[in-house]
Amino acid sequence: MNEVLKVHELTKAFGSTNVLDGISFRMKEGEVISLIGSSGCGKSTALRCINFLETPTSGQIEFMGQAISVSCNKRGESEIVNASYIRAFRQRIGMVFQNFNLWPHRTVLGNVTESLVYVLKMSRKQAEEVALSALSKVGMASFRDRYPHQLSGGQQQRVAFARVLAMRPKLMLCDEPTSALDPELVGEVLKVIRTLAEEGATILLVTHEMRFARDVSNRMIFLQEGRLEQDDTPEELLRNPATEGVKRFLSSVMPASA
Amino acid sequence: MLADFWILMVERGWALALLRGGAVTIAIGLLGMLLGFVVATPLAVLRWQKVAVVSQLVDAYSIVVRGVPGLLVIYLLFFGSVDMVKTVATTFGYQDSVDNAYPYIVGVIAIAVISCAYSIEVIRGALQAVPYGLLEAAKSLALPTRITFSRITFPLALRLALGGINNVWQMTIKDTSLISVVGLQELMRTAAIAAGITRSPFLFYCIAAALFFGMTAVSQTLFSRAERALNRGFGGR
Amino acid sequence: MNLDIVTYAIPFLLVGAKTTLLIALFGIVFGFPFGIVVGLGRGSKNRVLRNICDTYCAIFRGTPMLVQIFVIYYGLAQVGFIRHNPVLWWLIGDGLNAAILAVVLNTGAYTAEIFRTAFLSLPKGLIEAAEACGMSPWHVFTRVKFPLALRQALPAYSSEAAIIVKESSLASTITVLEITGYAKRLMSETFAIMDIFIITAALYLAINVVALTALKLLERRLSFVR
Ligand SMILES: Nc1ncnc2c1ncn2[C@@H]1O[C@H](COP(=O)(O)OP(=O)(O)O)[C@@H](O)[C@H]1O
Ligand SMILES: [Mg+2]
Repeated sequence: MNEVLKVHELTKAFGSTNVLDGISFRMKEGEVISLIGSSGCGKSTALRCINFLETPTSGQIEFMGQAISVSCNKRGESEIVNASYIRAFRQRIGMVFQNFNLWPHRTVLGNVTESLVYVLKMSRKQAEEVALSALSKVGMASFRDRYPHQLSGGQQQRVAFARVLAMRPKLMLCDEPTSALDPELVGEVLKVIRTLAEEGATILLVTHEMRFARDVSNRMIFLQEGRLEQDDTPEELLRNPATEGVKRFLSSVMPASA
Repeated sequence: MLADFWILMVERGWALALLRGGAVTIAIGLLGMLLGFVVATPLAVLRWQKVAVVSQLVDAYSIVVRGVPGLLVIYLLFFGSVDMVKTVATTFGYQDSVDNAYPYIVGVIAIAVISCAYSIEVIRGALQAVPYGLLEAAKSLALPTRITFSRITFPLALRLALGGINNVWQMTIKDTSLISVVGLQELMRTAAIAAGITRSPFLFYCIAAALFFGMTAVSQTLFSRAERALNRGFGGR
Repeated sequence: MNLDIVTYAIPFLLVGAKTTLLIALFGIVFGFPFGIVVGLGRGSKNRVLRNICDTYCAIFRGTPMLVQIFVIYYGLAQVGFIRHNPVLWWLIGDGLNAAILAVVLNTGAYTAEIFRTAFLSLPKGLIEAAEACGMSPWHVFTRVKFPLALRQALPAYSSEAAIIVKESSLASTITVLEITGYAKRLMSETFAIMDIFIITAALYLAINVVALTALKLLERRLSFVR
């Protein structure tokens, strides 16, 4: 199968603290990878470096055969090679945020059509068709004329998924998509992710829903203090934690019964 | 008593004069505010983007104008421009028409200069208050910077700025009264003339106060309504 | 900049600064407590008192300060009853006194608004906690509500103090020569409009910096987090 993403020696420092410390992994088309680790270990930063919302300090991101590499020059500034690919990356990498980030002054439909019209240059009519089919996929088509504040958190997050899906992304980055939701609303969003996974979407998912992650992922990657400690199938990682850190993390999030 | 009032207001025509003065006040306030806002918007954007040099100049302008009395700014503009305008006008032989229009033009400019400084702060504050996540969402969807600004950042900032713009407008309409000290016949000046001629300053200044109060009250209501209509998307805030 | 003009202008402006500071100082010393009282009145359970305070605030916030100062100085002077009452006549018959009165009444209305919102924004739980441990209403007010509201209100009051300094310039319209009044005179005397403006602006900015720094220090002294 095709390789979609190659992350090579990704490093990110904020000031003098190294938040990511040389992370490398690969994703094939149709793979679902869960990124796990305790709070503050750098999961969000890793995701945000992949679509350059955060500029890495050094390393290389290769997406669909195009590589952007960042190196640190002598003065300690980052130098980006092939920075012009960033737009192309973002066009085909969708990102779903923890707190949805729907635009409050646009309707549900308006939130989805915006990038279709202004990035993919569709006509308004065509954009609305595409948007509606993406919205029906997450069960939100009948809410097309509502404003975000008129929706529940779960519904807002489903619209955020539709906004990304309409762009037909080759890779989806999901940063704790259910963390801001009330417990009874988590299920509807997980269902969307599960459907996408079954349909063969490539998803890099940060989540604390360990059971769900185990069920839906092909691989799990464990980060600790910015280092990649284990990259394995869920079964393997859960049965044979590679380091003390993984073991401690697992016992804290999945007490005995799991 | 009531008969005296009737004679003063209707037969001597002061009611009409005061209303005309009120109209001038509103016109100068609106034009000045509008001009100030149109200039303030790009300046606020540059300041928000922290564009070097321009930011510092905008800051200096804003600090000075907001830190000194409006009266002083008005004196600067009126006394500072008098000679220049006179020379230009006389050379081209438009003495009369310029003499008549000149105070109004400088009046509008003075009000614009003052309100612009406050508008800059309001717009910049609103731009900064747009939640960063909403702009990151746009970035992550590869929306071009210009589109993000014109379709997301700016419309959102405008809604956030509405309350502040209302405050600037209320202040501006009150500041127009200051122009009266350089002889422009707006509401306050008309009241002063009437007070002098009729020797009833108490009556006329109270009427002026009532008219100003009416203006600020009406615009307050209008703004509240606009705010409610525009803020649908913010959960009715 | 012409040095002669600077040395000529500065002494006048400093004389003016004394008057400006005098008006502003009175504005703060009287206007601050007055504003707090009116602010409390607006939150009072007594409807008459509440309406009076609300109306006063609406009028003084809804009209230009220039109108207020003219009504007080030129308008009230016309009223026979005031002219014949020595105390009232002393208050409004003299330009400086009338200017101070106008500034106090004006800033009082704005200060009241600041404190009304400050009192409204106090977390209910803190007051309930004080009541729950048996404090008398007076103690709840002096020991809990007021200290908290004061801290809440100080930042907004700082900008109000800067506004007082600016508004004191309107005294020049009723013959009291303060900074702006002298500046106007100097501008028409010397024709060095820009020079005079720059010196005057610098003077105002200096006064503002001092006032704001003082209030910032007070704010820091009162804050819990150091
Ligand atoms: N913009 C930033 N500036 C400074 N430090 C940051 C910034 N963003 C994140 N960090 C730090 O980087 C570390 C990793 O953050 P993050 O990637 O958000 O962790 P996670 O998503 O795994 O909880 C944290 O210690 C956080 O404090
Ligand atoms: Mg995170």
